[in-house]
Amino acid sequence: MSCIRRTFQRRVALSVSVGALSVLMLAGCATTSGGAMGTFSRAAVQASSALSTAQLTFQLYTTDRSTNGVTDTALKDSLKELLDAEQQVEDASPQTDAEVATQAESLKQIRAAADDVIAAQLAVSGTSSDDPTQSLSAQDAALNDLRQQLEPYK
Amino acid sequence: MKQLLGVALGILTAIGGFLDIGDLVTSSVVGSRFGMTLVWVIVLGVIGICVFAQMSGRVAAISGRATFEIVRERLGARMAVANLGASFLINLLTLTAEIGGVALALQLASSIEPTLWVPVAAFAVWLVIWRVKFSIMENVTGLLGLCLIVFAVAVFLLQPDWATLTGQAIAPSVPATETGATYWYYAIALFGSAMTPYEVFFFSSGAVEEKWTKKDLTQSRINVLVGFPLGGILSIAIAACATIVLLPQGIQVTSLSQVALPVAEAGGKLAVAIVIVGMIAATFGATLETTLSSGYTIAQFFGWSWGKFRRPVKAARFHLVMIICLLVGIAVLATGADPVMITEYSVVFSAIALPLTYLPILLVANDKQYMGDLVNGRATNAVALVFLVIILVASLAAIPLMIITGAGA
Repeated sequence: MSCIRRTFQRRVALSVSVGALSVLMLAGCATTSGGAMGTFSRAAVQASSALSTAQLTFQLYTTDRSTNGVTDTALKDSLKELLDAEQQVEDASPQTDAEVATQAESLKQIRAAADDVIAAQLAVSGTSSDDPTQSLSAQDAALNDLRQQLEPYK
Repeated sequence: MKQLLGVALGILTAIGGFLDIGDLVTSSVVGSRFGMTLVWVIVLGVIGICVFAQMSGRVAAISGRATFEIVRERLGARMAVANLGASFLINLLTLTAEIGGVALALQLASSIEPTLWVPVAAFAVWLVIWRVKFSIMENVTGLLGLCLIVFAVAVFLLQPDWATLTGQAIAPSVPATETGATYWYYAIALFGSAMTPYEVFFFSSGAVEEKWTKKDLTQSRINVLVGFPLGGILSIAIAACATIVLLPQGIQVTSLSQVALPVAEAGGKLAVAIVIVGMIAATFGATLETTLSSGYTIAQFFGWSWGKFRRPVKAARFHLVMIICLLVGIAVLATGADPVMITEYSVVFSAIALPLTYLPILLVANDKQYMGDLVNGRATNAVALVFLVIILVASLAAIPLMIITGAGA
């Protein structure tokens, strides 16, 4: 009797684990909806959010309102988000000329944004004396435009 | 006077101990994407946790036993296994998220990679559980967690448009940039973060650790009914900070560092330093609670000797379970898994497991054999039943919504 119960409990545990894994995998697949343009749109939202974060972080740092720890971490997190967005765009498989063009444009904007965040990191660490404020602001506007342009595909 | 101080300390620690990494991240994510339109869920979750926490505290105070011990005895092994499985796995996931949360908060203070902080945080948790008295542990983390009040102060310093904020909260609607499915997915996540199962297990087992009796019921009720709602206000303040600063700039929260930015904008470096102390205390306190809850659930289910009130040698298996759980948490985080992502999943899976946690508590709280005349009153049962329906709906809707929205993407 106890053997049957143990088998039943193992099956329940296995089913729960398989179920949880399936849900996670399905949730992951759902983010790939909308084809290549959907991927570019989501990447643009992610990149735009990351760059806005970097811009706010750098502004708070230059006005002496934030600590080195928070500034370093927020810039690092922004860069990670941008690299993640870049990876998503690179991994997408465009089918049409329009999609190929959007992929190239998205990569260009995201990479420029990543360069700006690196410039901000260098400025904060004192390695560079260049002020990336203008560049961050201009790139933020460019990514915002791209995000709005791709909004219908989200 | 001493009693009054005890009540005040209880309330303060309840406020400071209310928030954890789930509340910090989820409230901020929600504020940055939905503004104040999901605040009603925080209010609902706080009422729910008050109802069930005071119920499980009462069960422990009257019977002198933790809820989980009675669940197995009263409802049988099969029901208890379901209860144990759901609660323990969610608790382990939450524990992993909390250790990651401590590491992320320490990164904000030091700029050192969180992966390096994870083993340090886990070791510190083990050391505190091994050596520090239960009441000291609870009071210190709870009082330091009060530093998170800086979020509420920041809301005022940011001088928001109060009419817009309250308008969004009072007449909620799905923002144009989001879908209905995403809105409800985050509603469930927020509900799950407010009603995390470990809170009731910890509350009930903590009552036994502190040897509550019938005489302590009033103080426990005051702690819950005053402390938790005030803690909920902090949760709302976090969402408000994100709404005021991050939402207009199109910033969607994906990291703990972003949660601190509105505070920096409002109060500068001093406010940032205070909020970091609060974040470390809140996540560290929650890690202690989830680690202890892991030990409590397993030890109480198998009828092992448990509790911090016993010397570790007298509750060896209880301590061993906690050490194993901490090691599992470290191992998961060592793979490079994002603690924020783990947190987001843990609050949603919490919501899925809620019926298996809260239904047994309601059944036990109505059992005269354990509770005597102090079984639930009609009003408590009515409110609890309404919440069970909400919990069931949230639990059933969570998985489909997770799949449809790609986990809220």
